[in-house]
Amino acid sequence: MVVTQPREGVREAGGRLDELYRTHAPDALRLAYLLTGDRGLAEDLTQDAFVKVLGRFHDLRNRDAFWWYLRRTIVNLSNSHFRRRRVERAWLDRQHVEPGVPDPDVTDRERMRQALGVLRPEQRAAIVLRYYEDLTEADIAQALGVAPGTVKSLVSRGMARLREELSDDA
Amino acid sequence: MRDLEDRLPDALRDLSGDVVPDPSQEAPTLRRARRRRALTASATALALVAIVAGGLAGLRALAPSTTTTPGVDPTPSATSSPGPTDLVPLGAIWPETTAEDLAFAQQQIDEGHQPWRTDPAMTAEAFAVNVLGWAPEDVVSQAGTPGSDGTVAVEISNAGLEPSEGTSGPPAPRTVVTLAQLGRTDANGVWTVTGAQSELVALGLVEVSSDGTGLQVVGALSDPREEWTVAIDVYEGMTSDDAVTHVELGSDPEGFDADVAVASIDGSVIVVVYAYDPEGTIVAADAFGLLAPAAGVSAPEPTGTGEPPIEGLPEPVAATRQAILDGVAALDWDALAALIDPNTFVYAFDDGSDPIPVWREDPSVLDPIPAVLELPSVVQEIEGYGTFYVWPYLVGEGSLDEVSEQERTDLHALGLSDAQIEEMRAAGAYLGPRLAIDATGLWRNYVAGGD
Repeated sequence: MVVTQPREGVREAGGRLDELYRTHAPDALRLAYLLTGDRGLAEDLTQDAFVKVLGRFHDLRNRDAFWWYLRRTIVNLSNSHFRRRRVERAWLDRQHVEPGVPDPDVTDRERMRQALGVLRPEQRAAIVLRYYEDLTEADIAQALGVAPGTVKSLVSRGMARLREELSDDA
Repeated sequence: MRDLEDRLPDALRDLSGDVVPDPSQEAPTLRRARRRRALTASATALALVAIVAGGLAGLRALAPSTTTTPGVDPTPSATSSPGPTDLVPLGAIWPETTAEDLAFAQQQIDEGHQPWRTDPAMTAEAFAVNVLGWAPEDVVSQAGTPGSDGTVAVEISNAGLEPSEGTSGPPAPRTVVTLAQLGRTDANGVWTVTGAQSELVALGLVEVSSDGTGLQVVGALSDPREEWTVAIDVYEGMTSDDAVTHVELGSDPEGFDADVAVASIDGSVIVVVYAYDPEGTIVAADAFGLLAPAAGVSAPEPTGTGEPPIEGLPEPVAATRQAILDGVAALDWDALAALIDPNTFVYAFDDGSDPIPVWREDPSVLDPIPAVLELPSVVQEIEGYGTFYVWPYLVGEGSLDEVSEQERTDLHALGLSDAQIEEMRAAGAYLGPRLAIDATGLWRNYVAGGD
């Protein structure tokens, strides 16, 4: 009656887990960094995502779609992080907006990082999945757990805001 | 300047080049993953054991069949005697649903992070924001007094749904969020949501469908307003990132009767029944955890056919006790490892290392465990660590200056000789094998003898 994972499978998976980690860790970290804009946070989210997905590797219905599961988990963890931070700020009354003072010496890369950081987390995720991961609206909707119409709106509003932020710098 | 849409892919790739993986993170990450897998398997086992020791009180509270449900015929099975299709609620639904996650959350709090998690009202507000999607500034909460079982009911509502000033209308629906401290129970213990029940969503029936492949959810809105709709999310596992099945049920004032296909990855599901207003805002929700058909495994067997619960032991403790006995009997190292956190487990004179390799080397060290667990236990409150259930009761006797006949019989049952008993009497303390499980069901120590 007690349901447990087959022990043979656990042993077999040992080497496979290492390979999966090495194969996907760079992409996972880059995605997490684009979603968060913070190197340390990206590392934490990436590790947590691997723990979650590898931790139930045997339960995945389609193990060949490992990156799909991992990407979705990274997006979920990133969104959860920002939601939690929003809640904490509201409760602890510590919310303060950093003044957006443009720095004339920053690089294009840094401007892009800062501009992405201004977007709402859901907008940023939609844009990164669209323009970095090159996903369709339907795939983005699945990854974010929202309707395809919502993806269209998130990307559209996010791009408008991004243009605004980057044009100020131009 | 090229249009942003054209140059964005290159710009993002360029930006992503800022980070490269740290190879030193691979080993600890894989260790955590393997432990999580073991714990997930363990959680399934423990949850199924809970069928035997548990009961259906939680589900009864969450899915009252006494609710009058217009247009549907609530069957009594959700509150009747346990049958083949009855379900047993899990201990928690948000944010932590596994012992590992709970331990990690407690560690975070102990390190000074997320202090709001020690406040049940704030945790309920976080549930409103994260699960129901309410804006933090709109969440209104009112915490009740703790119940005799230590749970706290927090009433939440969305101020954004209240009638505008100067207008009349019904107040925003209230949802009662139930929380419990499932680990430490002091002022610094983390609070976890164990369920939610709204005054708006009236569930008449929730059960595994007769063919064992899904859930049947029957109910109605107690106050159906125009264009308010109902939807159900079923998370197919105990972690929030597991696949979720979303079913829109529309706005039939007669109620809803939904069959939701379920293929849980770990034998559990979390069900959230939402009511939406026309703007898509969740106005109220019911939420609960259930055992459910797992992918590739059959539905749980009928309840009430196993061993009776150990009198006086909380369910998690009784389940772990049984799992230890099963694991020792089979020398199932994976099963035993799943019950232990090597960072906190104490064995022999060691602390903070993995006992499994040692036991595997010499399994005879586990031989006393069945006899130890056959004897009564004592409850010990250990400051900073919480409540421990310790076997055998002789550990709590304080002194063995005088050994009663019963104690002598029990000491013999543990395989101790009269000479060893005399040593203990002379030392004034029990020195035999002992074992402890904390109130969350985590196996905390096993000392074969000495110290």
